Amino acid sequence: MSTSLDIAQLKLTSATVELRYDKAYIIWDRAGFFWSEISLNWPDSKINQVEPNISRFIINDRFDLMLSLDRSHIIDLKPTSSLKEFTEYASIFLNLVMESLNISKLTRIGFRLVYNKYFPDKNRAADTLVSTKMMVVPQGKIFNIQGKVVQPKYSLTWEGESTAAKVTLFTREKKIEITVPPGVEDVHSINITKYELIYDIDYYTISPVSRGQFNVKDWIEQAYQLIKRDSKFFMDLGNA
Amino acid sequence: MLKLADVLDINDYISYPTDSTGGDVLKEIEKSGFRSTTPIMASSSADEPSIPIRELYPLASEIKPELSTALHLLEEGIEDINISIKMLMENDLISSDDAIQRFQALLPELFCCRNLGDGFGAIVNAIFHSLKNLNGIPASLEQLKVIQKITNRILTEPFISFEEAVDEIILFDTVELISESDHFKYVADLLIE
Repeated sequence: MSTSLDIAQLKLTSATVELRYDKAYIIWDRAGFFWSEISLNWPDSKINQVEPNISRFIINDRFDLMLSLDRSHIIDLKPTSSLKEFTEYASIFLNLVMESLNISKLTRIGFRLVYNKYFPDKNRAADTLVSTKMMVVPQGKIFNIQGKVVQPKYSLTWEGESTAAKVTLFTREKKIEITVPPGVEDVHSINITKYELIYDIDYYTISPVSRGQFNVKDWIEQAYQLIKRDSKFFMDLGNA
Repeated sequence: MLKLADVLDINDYISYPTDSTGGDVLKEIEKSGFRSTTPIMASSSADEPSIPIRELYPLASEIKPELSTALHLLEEGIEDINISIKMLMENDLISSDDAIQRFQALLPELFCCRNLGDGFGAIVNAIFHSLKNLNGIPASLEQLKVIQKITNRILTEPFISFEEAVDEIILFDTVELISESDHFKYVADLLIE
């Protein structure tokens, strides 16, 4: 079995865009108006959390929208590989955030994608990550243990003058345990263990961005294209 | 009465940012009287320069060709405006006018990039008509400086909103530049009748 890694083999599990800005105290006046507009756009939106400095809605069990004093985000929990719906929702939501909170300058824009791939066991997941050659793994008996790598993790931040990306690759064991109390019929307890490799990339700006510079749709498209184009440098060092 | 000791709950003083992007959760002590040993994300100051537009959209030529074209034309245009201003300050009216005419020739193509936004289109349109309405008279230094300023604005902020664009265009009036098409006065007359 091949242990090479390629972004095309991974499944996109979440996509996020986050805006940060100087404290926008006008949120205390505009939050109601803001969420009314969101409800008009998406009648299926449901309240998740409401506090003076932060409010959070969820749409169709898929999009998590958060508005707060100094940052806002949209997370797509079931993104498609084209990011078409995510881009559409993000464009409407984030433009409304900037308009409602009178934001003229963004201190940071972040775009984060999380990919995963399941493996039948933890060793195969670890071997696949180690095979990228991004890490030097010692061989032999260490700490008097004739062992092997089981939960490798590789992370770095690649920083330029105005943009940066934090890249993390790791494997983990995911347990899903749902215990149904005795006496409840027709429902069974769940006890599943999954082994997965996670590729987590956070692309963000370091320098401030004026509102007139920022087009949500175009920026997401470009950032996504860059991630797809250059992820190979973190996945197959031997062949990159 | 003086309290000998206060019991502080450190959790009251620590926030855990959600950090939907931004890596691992950092502890940030926000209230006064405490100093954090963990790094706190630097916030920008008003004076900090904005990100260069080409770095924000590095794939513009592939994914957004009209943005790439607009930036290229604007850079070329600003060079012409700068030459025009320089020549005017040296009392070389002909060279100054030549340079601004070269800039004027770029405007129709720039107008084709108006899909970038209503603000962008409005500004290009306003510059075009302002120069046309001079009817061959060379632009003054003040007029050139206003055109230079607004052109620089759309170079750094091509997605400027229409409202902000209108605020910029209003400045044309202060240097006697007429930013509307000549035909508008006839339309206005018709509407009044």
